[in-house]
Amino acid sequence: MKVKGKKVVTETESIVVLDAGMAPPGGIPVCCFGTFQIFR
Amino acid sequence: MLLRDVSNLQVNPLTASNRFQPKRGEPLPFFHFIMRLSRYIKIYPYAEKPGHFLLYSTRQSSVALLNEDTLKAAQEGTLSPASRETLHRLGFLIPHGHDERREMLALFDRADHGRPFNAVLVLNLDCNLDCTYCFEGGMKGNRYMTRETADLFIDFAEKNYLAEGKSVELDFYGGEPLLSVDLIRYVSGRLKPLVENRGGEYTFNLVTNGTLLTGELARELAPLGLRRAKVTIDGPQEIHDAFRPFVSGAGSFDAIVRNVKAVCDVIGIQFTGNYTRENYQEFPRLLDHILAEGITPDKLAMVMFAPVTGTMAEYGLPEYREGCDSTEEPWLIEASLFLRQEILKRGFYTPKMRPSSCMVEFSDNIIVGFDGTIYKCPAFIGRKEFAVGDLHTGIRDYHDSHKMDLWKNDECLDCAYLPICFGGCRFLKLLRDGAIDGVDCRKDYLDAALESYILQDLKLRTTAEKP
Repeated sequence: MKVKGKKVVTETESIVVLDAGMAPPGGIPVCCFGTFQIFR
Repeated sequence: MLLRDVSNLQVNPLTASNRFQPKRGEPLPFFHFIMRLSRYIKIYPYAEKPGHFLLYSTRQSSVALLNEDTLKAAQEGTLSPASRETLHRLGFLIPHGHDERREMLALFDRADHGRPFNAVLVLNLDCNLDCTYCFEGGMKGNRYMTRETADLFIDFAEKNYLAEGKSVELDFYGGEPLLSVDLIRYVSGRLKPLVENRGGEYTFNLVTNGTLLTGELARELAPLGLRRAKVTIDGPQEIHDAFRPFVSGAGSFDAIVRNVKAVCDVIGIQFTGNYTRENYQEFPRLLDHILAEGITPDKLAMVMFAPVTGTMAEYGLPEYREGCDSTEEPWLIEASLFLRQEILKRGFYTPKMRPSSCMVEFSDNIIVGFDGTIYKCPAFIGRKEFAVGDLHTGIRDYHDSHKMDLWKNDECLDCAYLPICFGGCRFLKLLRDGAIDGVDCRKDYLDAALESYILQDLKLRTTAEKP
């Protein structure tokens, strides 16, 4: 087993973290005017 | 070509083997418990690397690339502890027994805690521009919020929202809010100390056409709390000036670009524009123009283009009836992906697809009309049936009028897209069908577009994530 940077690898398993994303809750932005206009 | 979606591959976690054994007497770390894949993920075969899969969590907007064996082990519950911990941290795996549906139902109760009180203040319904598609067109006129109404708002905010340590974020809106710049100074001058004396932070943003936002004004307002301005330019000069002329008929493009250039080092600029099916392919020329003007990616907080949204006959301008009112319009997917690619290619920041929700869901978000009427969404300004109260009498129950439970059904709660949709936009549903009698479902749109959005981000996003 080795954990190197963003890549977790075993003999058979491989995970490359491309984007850690955001941790909910509390970070949900408000969407205004539907899909189209992120108001802030 | 879009890849096959294999999100529905599931294995019953109760029957999955767990090859990891605890040492006697030691408590189990959380990732040793049986875990299963979250229902709020999408899995796409990754064409560039055969035998690999892209996982995207709609709940956390995380992305990971897994080989086939890892995905199979995740589905069967036989992952190594390190892999389990990683996939759990990213939101792809959840402990068996964790009720994600219940978590979603309670999300907004929890999300409200710690958020600032946010109010959109409609300072006037007047404007120095005469945009062809103005959705407030039928309401526009010499209508301004008075200082008395502003005082009522400050009292209302103090009484209902200014708890100890609570921050306040205002969005000054219009019409054109900078036609009421004295009121911005007044409200900020009164509210800022009220908030700061309770240990909170007072900030405000502008939703402005940009024509009056000079460098001098931005420098004056920044110490009062000005953080960001959302400015709109509708494409290259000849298109913008046709859509967004001054009342006099003269073009506004040069004035706005000049102002953006002058203020982008002082405050955050959200650079937006509205396109139509006929003109969206011209918008890259706008990006090249601002780059040539020295407005480089590091100087803008965000760039995003959106289709012109339609409006309802009694509220909009009678001559403009061509707006887009649905995510299902086929050209929209092509247009949004094309423009997003052009923005990212030039190094500008544009938002990722991530959890977001209608502001109606948040109890600490209100819209205050110029006359003191309170709404829950700026698109409802002037529509009496969607007023939820006023600064004199307070906010009444809007649970039924705003259909607060519309996404709280089995179909939505089981939908992988729920965290980035939450039933879509009530206004667009109203616009399309005349009533908010169901969700503004985005499944077809997201089925067609989400994978491409993710791939765009992986290939083109070079700038750091901006808040």
